[in-house]
Amino acid sequence: MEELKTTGESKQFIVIKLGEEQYGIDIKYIENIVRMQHITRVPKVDSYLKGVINLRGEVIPVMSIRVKMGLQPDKETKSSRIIILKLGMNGQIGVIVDEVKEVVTLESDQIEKIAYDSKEEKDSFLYGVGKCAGGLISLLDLNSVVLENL
Amino acid sequence: MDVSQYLEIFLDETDEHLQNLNTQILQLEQEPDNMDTINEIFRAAHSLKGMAGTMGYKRMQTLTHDMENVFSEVRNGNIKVKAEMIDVLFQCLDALDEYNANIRENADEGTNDNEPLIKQLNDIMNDGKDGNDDAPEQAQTTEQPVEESGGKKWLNIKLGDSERTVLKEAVKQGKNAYGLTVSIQESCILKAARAFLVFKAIEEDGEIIVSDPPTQEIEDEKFGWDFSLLIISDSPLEKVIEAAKNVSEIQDVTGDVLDLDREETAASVEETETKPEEEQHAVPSAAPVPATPVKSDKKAEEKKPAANKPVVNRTVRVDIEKLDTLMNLVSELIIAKNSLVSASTVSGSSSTAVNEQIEYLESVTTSLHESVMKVRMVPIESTVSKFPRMVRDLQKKLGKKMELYMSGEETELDRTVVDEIGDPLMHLLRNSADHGLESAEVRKERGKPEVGSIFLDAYQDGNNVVIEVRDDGNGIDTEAVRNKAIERGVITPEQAENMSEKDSIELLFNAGFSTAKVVSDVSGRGVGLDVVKSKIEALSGEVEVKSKLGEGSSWIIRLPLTLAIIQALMVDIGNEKYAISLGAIQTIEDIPPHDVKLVQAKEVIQLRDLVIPLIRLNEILDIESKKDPEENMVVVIVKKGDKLAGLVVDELIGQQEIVIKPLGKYVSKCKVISGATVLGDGEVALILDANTLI
Repeated sequence: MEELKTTGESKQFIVIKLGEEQYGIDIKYIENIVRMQHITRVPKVDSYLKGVINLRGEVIPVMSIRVKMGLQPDKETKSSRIIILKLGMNGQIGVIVDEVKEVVTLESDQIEKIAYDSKEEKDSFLYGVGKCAGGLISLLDLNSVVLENL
Repeated sequence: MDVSQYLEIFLDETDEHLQNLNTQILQLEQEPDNMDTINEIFRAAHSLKGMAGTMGYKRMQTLTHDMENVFSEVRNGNIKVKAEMIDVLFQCLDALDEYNANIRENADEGTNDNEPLIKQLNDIMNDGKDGNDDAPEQAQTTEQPVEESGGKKWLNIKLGDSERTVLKEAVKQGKNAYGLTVSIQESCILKAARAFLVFKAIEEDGEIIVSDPPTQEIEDEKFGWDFSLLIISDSPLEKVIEAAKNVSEIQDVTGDVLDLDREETAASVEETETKPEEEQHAVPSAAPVPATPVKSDKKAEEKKPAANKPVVNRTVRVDIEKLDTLMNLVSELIIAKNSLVSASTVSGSSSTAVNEQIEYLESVTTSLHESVMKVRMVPIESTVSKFPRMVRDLQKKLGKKMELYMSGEETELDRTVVDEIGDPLMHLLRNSADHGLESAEVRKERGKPEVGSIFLDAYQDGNNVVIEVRDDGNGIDTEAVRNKAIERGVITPEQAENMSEKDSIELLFNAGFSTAKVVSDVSGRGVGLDVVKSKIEALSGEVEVKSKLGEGSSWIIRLPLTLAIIQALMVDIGNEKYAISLGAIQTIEDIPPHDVKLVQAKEVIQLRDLVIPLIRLNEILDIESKKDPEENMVVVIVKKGDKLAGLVVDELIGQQEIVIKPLGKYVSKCKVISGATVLGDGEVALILDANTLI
């Protein structure tokens, strides 16, 4: 089993919750996970951009995946977290999630790629579904969630 | 020899020398007989040759060698400076510049031998005088006026009182006083290092009392191929000389026992002549006797005019990235200080002692910030000094007569800004030369002097640096501008009718706009002015244009002194905190609501005869104002160029030093926000860009 993990095409995901649904974020893009904190609103930007936060002296924009995906707006709770992502050359960005659950390792045969269907808008934010003991995990396509805004 | 580690220094210094040559040759064109200029040119060419040779750039070396030959002939009075010669020399500089650019690009000088140029140089040589192949060597000797005393140059060293006392004392104690002259092989590359080794060897069993030139200049390689020393030592003369000769690349060492009595008479004679030696600086730090300050000060003053050496600047070259890191650290420190300030006010435990210490910390961080900023500041001279040459070339190309007058070259700006400002200024100067100035005939008709004037003035104005490009040409024909804009489809004829002079001039900054009827090589491709504007705005600056038809126009560039840390006014709008740069703020007014008038359905206030448009920030920022509309309004009057606007805020919080942090690409859509800053309590506040608000 150990060998399989290192040689096979396994990927690690952080499992987060948005409402009742579980989503997976590829761990290689994650820089940090911080507690919910005061977000300074920035005027005149798209509604899913909630504002900016101070992360150890750096000013980092924060967006709501929920608004972006057309879900109900975020409700801040004790378990809310901001996941700081770094994608390519565009610097860091935080995304708000309801809860961070665990880290899972998925082998390539546990991931089922979604045939891209442009008609269903919501599905375009996903690139696959992972199957593991905890149930099904929708794997987020971060490029379409985050980078599309630029 | 691996020289790659010196490449950066080589490139920088070559740039400097080339710039210097450009300036000097330009001057030579004006005053062909100025010996100082010729000497300076010779020195720069010589250094260039040496450096290129050391780095193994043969082509560059050959070209500079031939240039040097020409200069040396000029210096010896064998060739007269002629216009053709100046042209050839400028072409040579361009060729050298090209080599330098190639080296910067790929560490290789390229393959252009520039043979035509070398041939032209040789022709100049032959015209002036038939074959004089050992010119550089000859030049070398004339560079050292004290040569007549042969190898015993140390005899020329003049003694100060303190040194004489030290020497006499040493002799009394049974030590030997010697004079030495050490000459270094001319092939030596690091002569300062050799000199240092000689110093070290001698100091092993002796002490150096005086050196000529002074140690500082030797360390900086500001000496010919030899230097002289007066030393005291326990060892016999032969041993000292032997020790010095053991250092490699030392050609010869001559020396003798010092005759102090003879020195005394010689010195007293020379006292009246004031020779350009500066021996009082030369007291090595090891010398036990303190110099007599009053006397030597007077001497130094006397000698200054005679000493024709460049002032020695003790400088360190630092990678700009290191300075950026330092600046970032200072920024962090200021944020931490702000946190401390707010923590002490919140906790309420503010004893006087704590407050005092915080105030002290505040003043220290402020001066630290200022010093770091000053380190990053360089005079704009490095950028503007290439312009006289450019204008000279333009003059030939355009066939107009013009003269460039510059002032305020010493004005300092952040290094990054200075590097970036060159291109915009060049565009503006070209623009003035090409579009602004009329031809000599037209000028004559209009009763203006035939030679057009272009001015480039730089000065500091509060927290800004202003650079002004002015000309006494035709000014901007706003009518022509409007017609052109209609033709280009930038505006409609109806719009054109209602356009003010100012708005018409603004049109010039439109992309793809050029009023020159003929597209010339110099300007008029329509890429100039919009690039100028965007570049300057990228540096957080602004451009303003003033023009009077027939009398000339002036382009005024305002740049902030610093980019990273600013003084700002913190304001509250609907319980959100915003910062406004103090530099933009004119005054703060308390206005009763009924003083607000409507002009063309826009809110304005009247303030000391000025009608100022009101901008309700809460509306722009999409937020509810928390203030009772019946109460007096707090209006912050901001200024952009000569335009004013009143920003309505809920409350003033206070003045604060803030560190500007970029907002990043994701939220760049918001134009009224120029950045963000982290406040003392860790919260993020946004910085309002007054320029885009107006």
